[in-house]
Amino acid sequence: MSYYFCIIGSRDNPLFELEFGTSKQGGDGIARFPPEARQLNPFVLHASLDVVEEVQWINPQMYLKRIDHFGSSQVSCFLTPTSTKFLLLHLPHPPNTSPSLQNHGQNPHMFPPYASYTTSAPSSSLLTRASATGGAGNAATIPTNPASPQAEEAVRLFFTEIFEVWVKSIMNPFQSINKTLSSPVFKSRVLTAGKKFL
Amino acid sequence: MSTPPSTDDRFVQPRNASPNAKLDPDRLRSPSTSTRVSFDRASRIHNATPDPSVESDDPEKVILESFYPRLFVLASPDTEELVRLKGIYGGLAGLLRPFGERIQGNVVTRDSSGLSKSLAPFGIHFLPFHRLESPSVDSGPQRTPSMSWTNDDLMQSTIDISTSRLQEQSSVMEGVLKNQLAMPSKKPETTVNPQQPLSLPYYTFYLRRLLGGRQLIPYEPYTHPVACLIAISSQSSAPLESLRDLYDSTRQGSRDLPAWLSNEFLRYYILVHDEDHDDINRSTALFDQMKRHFGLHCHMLRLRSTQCGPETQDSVELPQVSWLSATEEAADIDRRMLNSGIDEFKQYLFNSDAVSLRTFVREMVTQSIIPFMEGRINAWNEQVASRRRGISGRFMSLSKRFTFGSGRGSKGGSSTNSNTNYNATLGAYMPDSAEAIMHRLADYAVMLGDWKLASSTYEMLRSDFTDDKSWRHSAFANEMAAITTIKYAHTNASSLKPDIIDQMLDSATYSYLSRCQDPASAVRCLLFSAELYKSHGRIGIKEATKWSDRLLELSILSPLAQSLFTSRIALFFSISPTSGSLQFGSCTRKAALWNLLATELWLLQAQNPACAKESLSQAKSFYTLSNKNNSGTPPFTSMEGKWDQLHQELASMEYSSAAAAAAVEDVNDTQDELDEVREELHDPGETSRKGHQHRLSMAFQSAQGDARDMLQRLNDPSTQEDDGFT
Repeated sequence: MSYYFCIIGSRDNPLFELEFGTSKQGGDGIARFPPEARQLNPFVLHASLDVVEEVQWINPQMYLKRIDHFGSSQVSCFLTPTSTKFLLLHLPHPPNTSPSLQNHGQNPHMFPPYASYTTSAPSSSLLTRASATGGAGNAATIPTNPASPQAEEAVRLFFTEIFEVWVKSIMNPFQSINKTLSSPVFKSRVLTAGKKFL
Repeated sequence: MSTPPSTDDRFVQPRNASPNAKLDPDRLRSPSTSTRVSFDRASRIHNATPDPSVESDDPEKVILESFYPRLFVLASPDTEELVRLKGIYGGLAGLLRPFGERIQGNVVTRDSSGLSKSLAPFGIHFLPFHRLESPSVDSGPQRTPSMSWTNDDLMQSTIDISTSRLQEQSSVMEGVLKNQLAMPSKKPETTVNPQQPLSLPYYTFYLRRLLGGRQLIPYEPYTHPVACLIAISSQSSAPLESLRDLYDSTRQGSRDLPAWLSNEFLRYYILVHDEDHDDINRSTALFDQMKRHFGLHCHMLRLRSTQCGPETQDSVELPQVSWLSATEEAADIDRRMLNSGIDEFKQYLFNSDAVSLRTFVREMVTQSIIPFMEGRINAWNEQVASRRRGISGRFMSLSKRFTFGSGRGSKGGSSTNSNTNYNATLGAYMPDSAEAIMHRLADYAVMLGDWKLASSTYEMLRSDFTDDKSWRHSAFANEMAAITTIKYAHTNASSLKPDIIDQMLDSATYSYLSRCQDPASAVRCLLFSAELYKSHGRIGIKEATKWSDRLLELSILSPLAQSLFTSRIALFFSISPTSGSLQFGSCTRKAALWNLLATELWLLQAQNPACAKESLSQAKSFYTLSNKNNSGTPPFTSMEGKWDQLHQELASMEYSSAAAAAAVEDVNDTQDELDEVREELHDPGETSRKGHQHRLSMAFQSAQGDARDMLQRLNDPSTQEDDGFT
């Protein structure tokens, strides 16, 4: 699983961006997005703000769970009381292997964002999708199935930890709430949280 | 102008072929194989293809149009000869076809609950009768028409149709689309209207070609004939005998009609009177005799048999047909290529003929076809469907019924080994089984726009078919149940239940893909439901985008169709209705994302800079909207790499296509110059110019070489980045 984490301010401005990989199941914590997906990630997260704005009036929780998907990547969201959004995009793939290596050139006419994402033959991918959205499937481990309750719980713990670190860092009198977070300490704490939970 | 000699509208005929050339059945049946090569050449002929903006551009309308009743035209040889003499290509069916696409005036029908309503746009698809005879017209060139249909053949052919359909159709479709996209759009490019994007005409064009190519298939009864038009002409020496012969060939079991085809369709008889050569009194007498025999379903069509050209007085152009299948379109392009002219393929007829054809079609539809269909709907509804709706019907279906007892249903057709009516060896229900009748009932209801009856009937059918494990039928019933339910919810807004429709669409796509290996139908199913969902407010848009997304994920669309459809999704998002001053529920960011993806696809897969430019500028406007800073740059700094890259690719593609156009122009200029010099040289006494000619021909060759290089580089996407701004 590769992650792309982003904090977005109340005016749709990005405050913090980070990519990292899973550390569970012997993962080395390095993000392995295919190059074309890597470029698209910010666009995907930005687009899911539309869904956040819709869900925030329905769901009273701060952790809004998985709110959107694009191809096989999923987007989870955590909304702070000041309307700052923590968005986490996760792309499932086995640890320490690049997703684009598995099925490259399977179908020459594939849609670019999905081309390297699909993990099975086109005709049966409907099934895969159905089981992926159907909750606890056969693969309950975090890195392979982002829909499992374990993965959801892990993401929740990650977000809670980040929330704490974030509140501490914006209490700095030289930092304002809609200003880019450039503190290296904050970055290393996010990485630690990622290593710990994801 | 040479007379198009063929009596078959699928026949690709060179210009100078003799009119009496014997029709070669193999060539008749596979027009596509020979035509595929020539698309690149075809793209140079711009003006010849019909202007897409003339046709109705609303995809939802196109979908509804595809459900118009089908009418098969069976004409006697002398009638076909008469039409051929008029210079009309494609026989009587070809002559009638354009007039059936839109019936003028109001067509009123009465639905199952007795309310009358008007079918404002209504039409009829006219098809030549030979299309009925073998369902694998496209895929079975080796099959001769006289061969009788055995069960194995039929099974094989139905499988053949669907498996070969995707490969064959998608490649033909790609070619046709490419040709269409190469045409300059007639719209002014300055106005960017999100509701009417540049690619919309191409999208509806694609839809028409996709839906127009549907074959006669056992499990899709709306491809079956509603009526059969039997035509004789006044030139016939023995009119009544030829009528009888023609009638006999429409009966079940004759002329190789498939066994699952119901015989219960309307026969409509017409007498084509030749105004120029025949005596009207004789024809009237004959027509009176016909009326006595056949009752109301008769018409005398008065046509002139002399050929009509553009300069003839009182001539009008035969309207272009917008419902062509991709294969027919390909054949059409090829025909145009062979004749390399434009005017020759405008067909003309006399104004009086056009008027009488129009009157005839309208009269036939309002007085015969609609009443006939209403009658069938009522009868079938009473005899078969309402029994199933009652308590006992439900009970019977629960207990895995016996053949239940409407007179027709019990008569047979059921396979012997189990108590279902499904004939597994034939892959179909026999026409007199209750399921087949209900299936036709539902389809007739769809044709007449009675969505409530249709959706409730399909609802019953889909569980029946699933019980019988007739997967093709079940997939189709699921698809239609979903479509009719969505459509019914248009009139009755509260009844939209996405959960139930999701289930239907899910099982329909699953059956099509995994059980039937028929991706073309899955594409159609998801396209339909997305388009129909679109006009259902916010929930509808949400569902539409969900299913379009699913369609793209399945990656069963051909590359050009993907580009078209991605633009379409962007449009879905951009028209999402909002509420309140906070624009709650707006999807501008999603629209921006999908426009961006569309840009990428237009650039990489379709290589169409015009559409890509439009998508990109729309993405820009949406980012400006959500960004609130009017700079038109994307809100994240990390987005800029991709953003700039797209702009560069677009610029380089625009540059190279302009350069290629200029190179082509250059070659043409040099050619002209060369021709001039050649003419001068042919004058006696001017021999000293040989050196000049040589120089010019060298110049011509080098210009040609340049153009070739340029075109090669254009067609090869890998080199595009290099030649960008050199």
